[in-house]
Amino acid sequence: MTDALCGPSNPLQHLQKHTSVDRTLQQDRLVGPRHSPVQDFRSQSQNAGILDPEFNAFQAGAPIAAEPPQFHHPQQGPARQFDPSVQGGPSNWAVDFQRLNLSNSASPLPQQKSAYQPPAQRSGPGGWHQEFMQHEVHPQPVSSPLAHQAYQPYMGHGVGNFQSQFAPRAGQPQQQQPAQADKGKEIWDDEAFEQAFDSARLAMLGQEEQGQSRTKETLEQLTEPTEITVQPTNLDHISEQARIGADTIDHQESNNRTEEEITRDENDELARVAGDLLDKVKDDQSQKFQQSNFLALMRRFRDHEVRVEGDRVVNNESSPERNNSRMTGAVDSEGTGMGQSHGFA
Amino acid sequence: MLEFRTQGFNGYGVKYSPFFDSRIAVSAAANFGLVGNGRLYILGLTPNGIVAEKWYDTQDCLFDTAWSEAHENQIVVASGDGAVKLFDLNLDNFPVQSWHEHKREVFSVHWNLTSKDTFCSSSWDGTVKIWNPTRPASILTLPTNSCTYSASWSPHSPFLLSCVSSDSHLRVFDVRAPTVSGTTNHLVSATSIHNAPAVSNTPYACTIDGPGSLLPPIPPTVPRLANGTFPPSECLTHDWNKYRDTIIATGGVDRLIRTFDLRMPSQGPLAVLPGHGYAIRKLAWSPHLPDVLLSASYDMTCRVWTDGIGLGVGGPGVSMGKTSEVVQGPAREMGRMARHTEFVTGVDWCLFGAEGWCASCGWDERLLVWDVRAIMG
Repeated sequence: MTDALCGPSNPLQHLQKHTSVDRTLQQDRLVGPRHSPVQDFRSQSQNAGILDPEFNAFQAGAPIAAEPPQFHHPQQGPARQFDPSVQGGPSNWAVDFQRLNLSNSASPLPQQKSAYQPPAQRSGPGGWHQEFMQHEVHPQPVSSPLAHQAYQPYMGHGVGNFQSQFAPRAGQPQQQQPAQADKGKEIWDDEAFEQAFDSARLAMLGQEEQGQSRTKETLEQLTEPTEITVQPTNLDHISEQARIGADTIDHQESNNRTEEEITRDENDELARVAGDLLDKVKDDQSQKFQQSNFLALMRRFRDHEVRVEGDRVVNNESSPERNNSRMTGAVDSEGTGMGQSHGFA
Repeated sequence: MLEFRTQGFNGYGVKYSPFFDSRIAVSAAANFGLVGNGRLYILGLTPNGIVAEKWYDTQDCLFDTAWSEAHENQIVVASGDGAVKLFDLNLDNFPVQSWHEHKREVFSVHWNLTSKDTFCSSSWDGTVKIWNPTRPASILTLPTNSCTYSASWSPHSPFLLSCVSSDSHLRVFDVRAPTVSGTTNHLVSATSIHNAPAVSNTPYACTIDGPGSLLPPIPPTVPRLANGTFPPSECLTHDWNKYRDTIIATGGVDRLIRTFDLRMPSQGPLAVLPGHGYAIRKLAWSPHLPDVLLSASYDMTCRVWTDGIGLGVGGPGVSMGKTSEVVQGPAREMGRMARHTEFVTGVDWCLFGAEGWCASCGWDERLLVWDVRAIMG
């Protein structure tokens, strides 16, 4: 490119340089993201990729092809694509340019609709170009000026981006490119876009799967220090297992009994539980068990000498009171002695 | 042996402060926890004996307590009415926070020892809940569908917690693990505690006492099924070993202490320690020794055990090793303390000072502070 700018040149040389540059650009766009700011930009700019083929085609056949060289002038340096004064074109072009610049950065779709009326004609990247060519050949008073205005700024925009971000010093006039070659490129573009999108989608899926498996792997690794294998836990044996201990106690209270009935029943239950508990320790002749205050209380419960009333244990007179179902936890599995007393916990 | 009388209240849980070597908390209940109020005692060990520095009365009995690992003045309690309450010792009378999500009695609370910003609670309603003291609601609810007597964080990982429950199972949860379904929330293993003991003893095997079983014989009074397994029985307590990060000890209604290796939990217990006459209510591994275990039981005794696997020279239960060599001796009871006159419900080791100090509480309305080394035979 330096040669193209500074060295002795002939048109053929320029053409070669240009085509090689252009192919690089196309491939850059199609092969997928690379680590260049241009690619970052292009992936964000939905319009740029659409417009390039039309731009080429337009340059090949459009009557205003003489204008672009104005801002491709080698002396100009990096084009300031948003500066209307540089364009040197008609004043309304500059206005449109600014408006469309907004559309490209902020909300492309609605603005595109206004610029490309009717939107239905924009079936694909090549559609607009064909439509435009028709307009050139057979000018239609209604849509042609609009399309024309919209087209020019986009051209300037795309080229400007190209110059400023990718090849600031490659100010080669692209209109020298033959239209025929551009058409071939367009077809290739469509297919390649599809392929590129397909491959990108596959790549993303692959990354996703990889991400999932990595999550599992990470989990296993994180778990590894304690050597706990994340294994499918079969809990069937638990659900099949007969419930024991506290789990056998049904907390569902029947509603069709009066509170008095419930409390009387529960105090009866408490007495029964206390009796069961004492039965289990009756063989224990140790002094501590004989003198245990708790077991003494249990004896009094068993013999209905005391009862639970509200939050207190009181001497029995007549009416039993609410029982705390923790007590009933004391009756459960058999043959384990006082163990059931944990039910008091 | 020092003593403090929790007059009118039967002790349920005891915990040494992780910040002060002279501070002990006891959660207690009136009427043996059948009905009535609860009380949280904050006790100080002074030259003049144990004194109550502060106490908090609660509406319902308090089954367990746990000191905050992050704030020296904060402590949570597990209440019989399903509430979990956080007290700040700078404030009198009332808790600074109270959560009422459990539908039934809360049996245990345990603070996360490694991340220190969460704690867990377990309840008769068949759930384990994870809490952050600054949040108004629980962070996570782990279902067990069984009365869950004890839940405990791993001392080695901020993500692992375990629980034991009425259905004779030891569950381990990893809060990082994916949620599979409603019943396997974060569950990474559920081990049948009543499984037959492992055939070969342990992967550490390095016998120092010659041939023969390293496990004490399981007495014929312990019921066994034909296939070698035990009948399922409620598991009331468990604890993570503080040095061997995959070892958990369990104890419960069948009066046996078992140790499990989480790397191969389905192979059954590594060690089975018979001895207690009635159900085992509380277990605690020593914070100083890798093989020493303290238990409290309804048989009114506390016992000290070794599971036979010690690190270092000098044999198990002797001292902290100077090398990482693993030795194994017989698992056995090393001593018992029989001063309590009612069921013993709580034990805890002192983290500070000499390695044998511990505290126990029981339904005899007494807190005892004593040295395990004095009872080791």
